[in-house]
Formats: sequence, C-alpha cells, structure tokens
Amino acid sequence: MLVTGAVAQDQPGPGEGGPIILSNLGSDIATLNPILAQDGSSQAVINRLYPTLIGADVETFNYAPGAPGSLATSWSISEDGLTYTFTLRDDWAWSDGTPITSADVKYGFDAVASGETNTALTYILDDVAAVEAPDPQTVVLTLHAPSCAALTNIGPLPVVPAHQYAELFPTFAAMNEAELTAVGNVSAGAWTFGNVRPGEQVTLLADQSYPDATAGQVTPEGWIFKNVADQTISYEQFLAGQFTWDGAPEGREDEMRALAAQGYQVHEYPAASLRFIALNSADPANPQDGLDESGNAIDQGHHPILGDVRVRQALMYALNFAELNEGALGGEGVQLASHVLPSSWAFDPELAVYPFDLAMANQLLDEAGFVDDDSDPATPRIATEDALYAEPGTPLAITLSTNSGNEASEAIGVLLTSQWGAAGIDLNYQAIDFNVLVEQLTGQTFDAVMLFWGFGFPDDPNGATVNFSPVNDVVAAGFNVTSYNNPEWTALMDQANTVPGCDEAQRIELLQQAFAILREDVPWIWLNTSNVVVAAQPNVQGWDPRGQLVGWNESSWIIPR
Amino acid sequence: MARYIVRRMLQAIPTFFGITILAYLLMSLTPGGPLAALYFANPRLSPQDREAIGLRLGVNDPAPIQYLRWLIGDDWMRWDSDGDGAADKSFLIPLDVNEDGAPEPPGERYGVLRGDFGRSFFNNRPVLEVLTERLPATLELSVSSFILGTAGGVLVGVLAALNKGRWFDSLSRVLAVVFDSIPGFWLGLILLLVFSVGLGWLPLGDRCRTTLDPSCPPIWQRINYMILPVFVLSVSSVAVLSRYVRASMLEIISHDFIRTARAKGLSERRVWFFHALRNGMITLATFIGPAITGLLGGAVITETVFNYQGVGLTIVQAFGQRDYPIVMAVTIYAALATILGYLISDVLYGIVDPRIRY
Amino acid sequence: MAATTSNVLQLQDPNRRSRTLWQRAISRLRRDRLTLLAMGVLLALMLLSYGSPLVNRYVLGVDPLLPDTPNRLLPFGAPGHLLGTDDLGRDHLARLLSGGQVSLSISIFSALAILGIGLVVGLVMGFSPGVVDDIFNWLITTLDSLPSLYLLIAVSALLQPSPQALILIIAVTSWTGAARLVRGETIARRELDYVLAARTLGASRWRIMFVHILPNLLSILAISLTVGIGGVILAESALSFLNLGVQPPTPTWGNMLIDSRIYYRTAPHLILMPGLLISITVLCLFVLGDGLRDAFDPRTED
Repeated sequence: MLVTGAVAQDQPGPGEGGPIILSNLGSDIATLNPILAQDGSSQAVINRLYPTLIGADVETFNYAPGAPGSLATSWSISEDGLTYTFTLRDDWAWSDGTPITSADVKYGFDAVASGETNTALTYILDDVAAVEAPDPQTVVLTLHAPSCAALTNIGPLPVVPAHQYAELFPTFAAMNEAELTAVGNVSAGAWTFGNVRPGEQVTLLADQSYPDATAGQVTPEGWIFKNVADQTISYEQFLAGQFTWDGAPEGREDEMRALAAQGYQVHEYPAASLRFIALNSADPANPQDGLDESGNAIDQGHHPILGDVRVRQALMYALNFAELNEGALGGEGVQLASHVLPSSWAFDPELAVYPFDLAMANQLLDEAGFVDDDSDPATPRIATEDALYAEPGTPLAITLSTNSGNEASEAIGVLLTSQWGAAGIDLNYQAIDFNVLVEQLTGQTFDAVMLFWGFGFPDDPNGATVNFSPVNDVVAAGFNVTSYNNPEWTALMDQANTVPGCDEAQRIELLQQAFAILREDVPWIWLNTSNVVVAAQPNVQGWDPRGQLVGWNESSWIIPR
Repeated sequence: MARYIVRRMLQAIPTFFGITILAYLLMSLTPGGPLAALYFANPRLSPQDREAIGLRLGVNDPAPIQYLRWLIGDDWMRWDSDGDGAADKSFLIPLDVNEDGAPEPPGERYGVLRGDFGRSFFNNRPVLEVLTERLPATLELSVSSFILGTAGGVLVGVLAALNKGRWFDSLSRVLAVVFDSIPGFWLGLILLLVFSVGLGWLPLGDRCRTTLDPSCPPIWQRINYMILPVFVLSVSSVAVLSRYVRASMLEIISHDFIRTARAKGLSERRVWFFHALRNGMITLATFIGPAITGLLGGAVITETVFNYQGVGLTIVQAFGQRDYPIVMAVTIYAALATILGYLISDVLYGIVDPRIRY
Repeated sequence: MAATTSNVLQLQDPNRRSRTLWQRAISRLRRDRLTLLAMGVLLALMLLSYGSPLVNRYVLGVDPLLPDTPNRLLPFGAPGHLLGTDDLGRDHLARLLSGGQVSLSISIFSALAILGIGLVVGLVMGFSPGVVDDIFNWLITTLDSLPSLYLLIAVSALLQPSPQALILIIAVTSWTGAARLVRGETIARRELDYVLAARTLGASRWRIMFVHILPNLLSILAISLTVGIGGVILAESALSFLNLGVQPPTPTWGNMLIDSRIYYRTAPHLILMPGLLISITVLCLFVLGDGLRDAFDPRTED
C-alpha cells in the first residue's frame, strides 16, 4: 500500500528532518563577517548566523519589536527625534554560551564608524552619530538630525559577538585581512556554522538553542547552499528534487506556475528590485562631483544629448512597455512611474506612467532641436542650431550599456533599439563586462546604463541609498550617478524626512510631490519591477512564505529524507 | 636522456617568465580593475578608502612593480632597517605612497618564487589552498578523459586501419568527424537531457551527492557522476586521435621495412605490433602535448554544464572578480601542465623512435 | 640522379610541378563523392548565408533584426515563418541565414588571418635559423603554454566583442599552430634537392621562399584553412557560452544557440537549429579537409 503524504509518518524530532538545500547561482561567499559583507551570497549565510537589532514583522513588513531573530523587544524615541533607546531581550546567547548584550551592537557600529574597515555600511553614519551601551540590555542611538527613515538605516547595523571579535582583531583594520572562516563559528540563530567549500557549498547545522523557532525546535538537520554554475542546470536539478525551493529563471515564470498542477507549492511576490536605465545629464567626457568642499555646486557641463530634459522625456514617450513586457519579460514585468515599488506604503497609484506616444516623442525631439533632415527613417535625427547642448550636425545617437549575460536585458536592448529608432534616435546597444560597466556607471562616463536596483527590507523612500541630491553626486563614490540636481526635489525629500512626529499622511503627500518631479525630470528610467515566482518541492511541510520572506520559518520545515 | 630533460627544463625558464609577464600584462590592461569588481555594491566608498584598499592589495603601483611584487615579493622594496616597526628604507617604490605624511608599512610579501602565492583578493584565502581544493576535480576529469581519449583513439584508429574499407572503418570515421563537429556545450546539454532528465540513468551534473558533509566520497563510488563529463571531454580526443593513428598506420604499412619484415617471414601480428604500432605511437607522442592544453581549455564548458567545480570554472570566476592572485596561480598551473605535456611528448618520441637521439 | 635532373629542369618552369599536383588533386576530388557532397552542402550554406540580405528581403520578406513580439516563439511551420520565430518574434530562418553570414565571415577571416600570420612567421623562422627562430620559438611556446581560454577571456574583456574584434582575438591567440606547421614544412623543403639547386644557381632567399617553397605549401595550407574554419566556428560558440562572443542584436549561430537555451523546454527548435547548422558546417569542413588531404597526398594511389 502506498503511504499518501507525510501525514502518516511520525513528526521528526529536533534536527531529525532532512536538510534544506538551496541553489547558489551567484558567486562564492566572500566573508562570514556581517560588517564586511556586501554580496548576496555572503548575506544569505550571514543572515542565518547573526541576530539583528531590529527586524520586520512577517505580517506588516514593517519594523516591529520582537520580530523573530531580532534583539529589540521595545524601543522609544525622544521628543526631539534624536535619541533612540532600544531594550534588548535577555533570553538569548551566542553559540559559545556568552549572552548577547548591547556591547555586541555597539561593537558593530564602532567598527563601521572607525573608517578602518572595508565595510559597505557607511551609509548608516548618515543618520547615526553614536551608539552607547549603558547597560547590557539597553542600546542608545544618537542621530545627527531627526530622520523619519532612521529605522531603515539602523536596521542593517551589524551585531557581532564582540568578545570573539575583540580577541581576534587587535584593531578594526585587522578584520580586513582575516581568513574567511576566522569568524562565524560563534553565532546566534537557527543554525551554527558547519563548513565552507568555496566553489562547492556552504553548510550550516541546526542550533537547538535558537529561541525563536516557530515549532519550538529546529527540525531540519542543516542548511546547504550549493553552488551551481549554470541556471539551466540549476532549474533542472530543482525539478529533479534536489533543492528544497527555488525561484523561476527570468522568462520561465509560467513554467514554474504550471508546476502547481504537479503538487509543487508555488508562491509569488513582487520583487524588491527594479531594472533602471540611468541617463547621464552631465558631460560624460568630464565627470565632476555635485558639490565642492565648501558645499557649492560645481558646473558639471551638460550631456550633449541627454542634458536636455525634452530628449529624456521623448525617450519615455517612445518606449513601448507592452512590447518590452511581452517580448523580454515574459509578461511578468510591472511598469513603474517612479522608483517607489507598488509594495511600498509611499507608492502613488495616481502617478501615471508615461504613455507610449510616438507623436509626442517626435514633437519633443523637434522642439529640442533634433530634426529628421532627410526623412529617411534609417538615419538618426540631426542637431540644429536650436539644440541646447549639442553642436549643430551632431546625430541623435546614444550608447546604452548593460552587463553581458542577462538575457532579458539583452532582449530589452534589442527592442529599445527598434522602438527608439522609430523616433529617429540611434541607439547603440552594447552588452559588456560587468566590472567595466560598473566603472563607467560610478565613474559617470556613460550615456545610458541599464542595471538593477535592489531595495532594503523594509524600505523607506528617504533611505540613505535612494538619495539623488548633489551631496550624493560624487565621482566613483556616490549613488547619484546621473548628476541629477533639482533643488525642489532635494527640499521636498528633506521635508518629508523631517516631518514632526513622522506623520505618515504628511510624509506621503510630500514624497509623492517629489516623485512627480522626478517623473517630469527623468534622470532615470525606472523601467520595471517583476513578479517573482518561487516553488517548493511537493513534499516540504510547513512551507509558508510571506511576500519576499520565503524562509522566515524555515527552522520548522519538515523535509522528508 | 637525463641531460636532455634537464636541458628542456632549463628552456622552460624563459617560457615561464614569458607566460607570467604576458598574463600579468593582459590582466592589468583589462578595464574594470579589482576595486570595481570588489566594491561595486558600495559606490559610497570614498576615494581615500579606495586608495587604502588598493594599497593593501598592492594594485596601486605601476604594473611592472606589481609584477615584481607578485614574483619576488616586496620585503626588499620597502623595509624597516632600524627595527622600530615602521618602514624607513625603500627601493623602486616611494616610502609614502599615498602622501599622507606617514610611511606605508614594510612589505611582507615573498613572491611566488619564494613560495608565497598570496591571498585571494575576493575572500582573503591563501591561493595555494584554493588551488589545492579545486585541483582534484580537474585532475580526476582530465586524467580520466586523457587516458580514455588516448586509449580509445589508438584502439579505434588501429582497428580502423586493420579493417580498412570495412564497416568498422567507415563507421568509426563517420562518428569521429561527427563527434568532433558538435559544440561541447550543446553535446553536454543534450546528453544531460537524454540520460539524466529523460531516462534518469545518470545524475544531473555535480561531482557527488549533496550532503551536509562537504567532502566527496572516493572516486570509485561516484563513477556515475563522471560518465557524461568524461565522455564529452574525451570524445573529441578519440575522434581526432583515431583519424591520425589510422592514417599513420596505413602509411607505415606501405613502407619498405614492413615489407621487409613480412618478407623475412614474420607473422602478420608481429609485423603489426612491433613495427607498425611503434611507429604509430609517434603520432600519439605528437598529439599528447596539445591534448593536455586542450583538456584544460575545454574543461571550462564541461565544468559549467555538469557543475563540476574545477580550476576551469575557478579561472573564469576569478577573472570576473579580477582576482589577480588566483588568475595567476591557475595560469601557472596550466602552463606547467602544458610544459610537462610537451616534455612527455618529446621523451616519448625518443622512446618510440630509435632514430631520435638526445 | 634522375630525380635531381627533373628538379633542375623544373626550375625553368617553377609552377609546373605544383600545377600537376593540383591537377591530380582535382581529378581525384572529382571521384570522391563524400567530399563532393560536403562541398555541395558548404556551397549551398554559403550561398544562402551570404545571399541572406537578398533572400530575407525578396524570398522570405522579413527583417531578421526586427522584433515582432505578438508572434514570439512560434513553432516550426507557422504561417509565414517556416522555422518559427524566436523570443522576440523574429523569423528564425532569416536569423539563421544572416547569423550564418556573420559566423562564416568570422570563421573564414579568422582562419585566413591565422594562416596569414602563421605563414609569414613560419617562413621567416624557417629561413632565419638562429636568433630570429629562437625568439619566435620562445614566443610560440609561451603562447601555447598559456591556457587559450585565459587569453580569450582577457583579450575579450580588453576589446568589446564585435565580429571584427572577435576575428582579431581569435587570430592573435591561435596562429601558433599554423606557424609551427609552416616552419616545419619550410625546413623540410629547404634542404630538398631542387631548392639546393636553385640556391646554387644564385636564386635570392626571397625568390626561393616565394617561388619554390610557397607553391608547395599551398596544399597543406588549403587543408589547414578548411579544418581551421571549422575550428573557429566551434570556438565562436564556446565564446558565446562564456558571454564573450558577439553580442546581440547581431545574430551568430553561436549566440543564437546559447541565448535560446532557456527555451529548450518551451521552444526546443530554437536550440536545435543553430546547433545542427554548426555541426553540419563543421562536419562538412572536416570531411572536405580529409578529402583534400587524400587528394593532395602524392602517396595516394590513383
């Protein structure tokens, strides 16, 4: 007789379930130190080994006290909005038995603030001035200035076993030179560090001392993060039952949806990332910072073609998103009017996307002084005397670069070449080496670059990384790579970040005004976000994804061996 | 013979320098250097931070200095002569590179010539450790493909020559050309789809079963994982070699000394094995050198398709991350393997062809 | 002695011997059905590929670069699209033809460039024993000992991969084999009687090189070119696999094969056809190479 389902079996005890196995399509892990981690693979492992100060509620997706895996049981904010006081739980210890205390939070901040480490978390310092640990269960943060987005900049604060780190590293700088596995063996989470075989896999083992396990025990024996070199093979291995759960490759979402009929547990959520095209408005031949040392604006020149806002708007009108979505995104794309994702509380459903309107695009380009001189659709428009920044006779040609190897981006490049070509814009689309692309983008020597923007979770539109003000326009060292500078936008964003009491309605109003300005100015084309389709094997019990938090309760999953 | 080998080893020295200089030059000319690769996620890194990291990795100096540091270390470039812990003497490089008023710390690298291969830029692990982890996978694939490829190639070639004009000859010649004409990635994918996805006879890639224990069991317990990748890697060797062996066998048969041997009354079998085969081995000797390089080069695609993580994948990933120390180490490994391959091939010549004297 | 005489006689008409070699080869090729078939297939493929601008415009009536997303991923035999369409709705047949033009051009020009460099270097080495030969020998050993893959990755990152850059990349990294071959043949022939005779008669080094040696190398070069073109077609698809090949929208058989791999379940014809065309072309080239080798081999009995 066949046993139907796992119900008939005994429930496995602590650590008796089969291991969770996930596919790692990215690179190897670079570090097990949360202060230094900046790549997705390292972060995936680190998230499972270290606690956070604050965490997101799995229902509301907002920061909330007592979230699983986090330390703060409550917090209070002072009247002036400058002091945040967190109370920490006392029922949790590092895997070597040492209690987790406020000193562990302070150490992480001090390391970031020291400037000695190669950390990517320095944006925390935009908001946070100091961290004090008056007693083991209290952390006091002082801000430079009131900020409604402070929690999103506090959330990524690394919490590390200070006793171990202080002993290992005589100076903060010493951690830059540490061995890959120097840290990580003292952890706090559902897992302890097992082993790492770079190029092959990372393994973690069940840690039964984890207090937040939803089933009261960590059921899987361990957790394996296995490198797979090719996505096609990875997907076939998932279909062969080798991975506990996996995401659909871009373009194959429908195939994965169809797996539901075979008993696979399919789940969808809106991606926390978007695909953008950055349009450089400053002179790419002479990249400059936005501000000089005393805070005065520097003349950065103008991009001969993209410097004119009418050209940038024409690009938007000439863009046929329906075609992009069908041809390149498998119908999973979601068009955006601003960089704020539909899942955000600040999202403005009223803000309209640019309609596909070729006549409007042509009119704007005519107004901008780029005319079709020979009525041959195969040749681009030519700049006349009326063009703002282009020498007369300059053809309307721009280069769009993206990284090679992303098939959806390549398809978008091909489609845009024909769509913009129809408006007389000669698009030179090229897929190039990723490092070269990054150097062009951050060095501000590009015309247009297509890449992805990943958002933090939970995210705030006033977060430090989404800051398109001149302060952030630093060659090779800033997020405002397009050299966007609109004082009105900067002022609105600053106001929204300092609304007294951080009243959400008031903030939304200010933010949405700012988004509307950004929509008019088009410093970036926020091309699309997508639906993400993931699926778990039919025999995994307890798989209960909430939005993008697919593995929030993984410690209680039951995976038959 | 020993003298010859020593002479060949000595000749390999300028080759070694040529390879390493060329490799380092190409790498440092490549746009998008290690800092862009390492810190793309962090565009907020200030120019000062960048400078400091570049200094630590040793990539701020001009390429010739970088090469020298990699080759023979930098403890003689900047050192501490009075024992106070701070560098006070320097040669070739300035004491204070970033001009912040304080001299940089003394050099601590010894260079590959003194056994110091350095550490990976990406994850700080000693390069030799990374390489020794990756080597077994590559060696087990390439050695078994090499053995199967040469043995199969000689066997098929000899049998084809013996059966000249019969069905085996025709079939093997057709198959040899067919398998030599298929793109490796395509062949691998088709084999996986047929034998792993469709029939379920063989595992879907990987080197061994994924378990919490990261080490793979001994090779004889996971032959099934090796069948497809070894087939893909060796099939073109069989194809190429069998054609050469067949041609040279047929050519030799028509030669005078075989006729003489036959005339002396030697049996057909003796004629074949003691004269013809030995001469056929010369073909093999010619083939071995390039075959070793070819296996290393072709392995990347096979390693990717079958997720068999060896040095081929390592060098591709390391180049993507601009991880100079790893790239250089793999290059040296491949160069040594090739030099060794050509040496073996030359020595084989001497053994099988009595006319060649060293 | 008779042989020497005939070679000396040949000096008065230096091309006579090679002409008869070629004549013999052609008459042999005429009787080699397999090779003729391969030549026919290659000729047809080349005609279709190089005629693709005309074929696509007047026969198929489609633009291989123009997307038509409503008609994406059509199967074989769809109306107006004999071989279906790709992920952007472009006609698969038209793309195969114009991809063939790019792939074949890359391969032919790379193979010619490889041969050109190899010929010049090989002849120079063969005729300048001593320091020049040593230096080139060192260069060749060095290049051969560097993993070709590493060279390809590094040079492709240096130059943005366009068809022209790819030709350069392949030529620069692959000429050593041809140079070795030419050098070996040159040295072997340098000491042959008729060359010695020419030298005694006072012919200059260049005259010997171009009049007496080069024509005799032609057959070997023809074989090597044929096989070389096949090798480059395979190399092009391998480079595409590593994202180092020609980038879209320019189609090549290599990048069509690689870019369609995510559709191997939903639209398997997209991965089937470029792979088949690559294999058939390379197969025909290799068969042709074997046929030429037999035809030119003086030992082959007629």
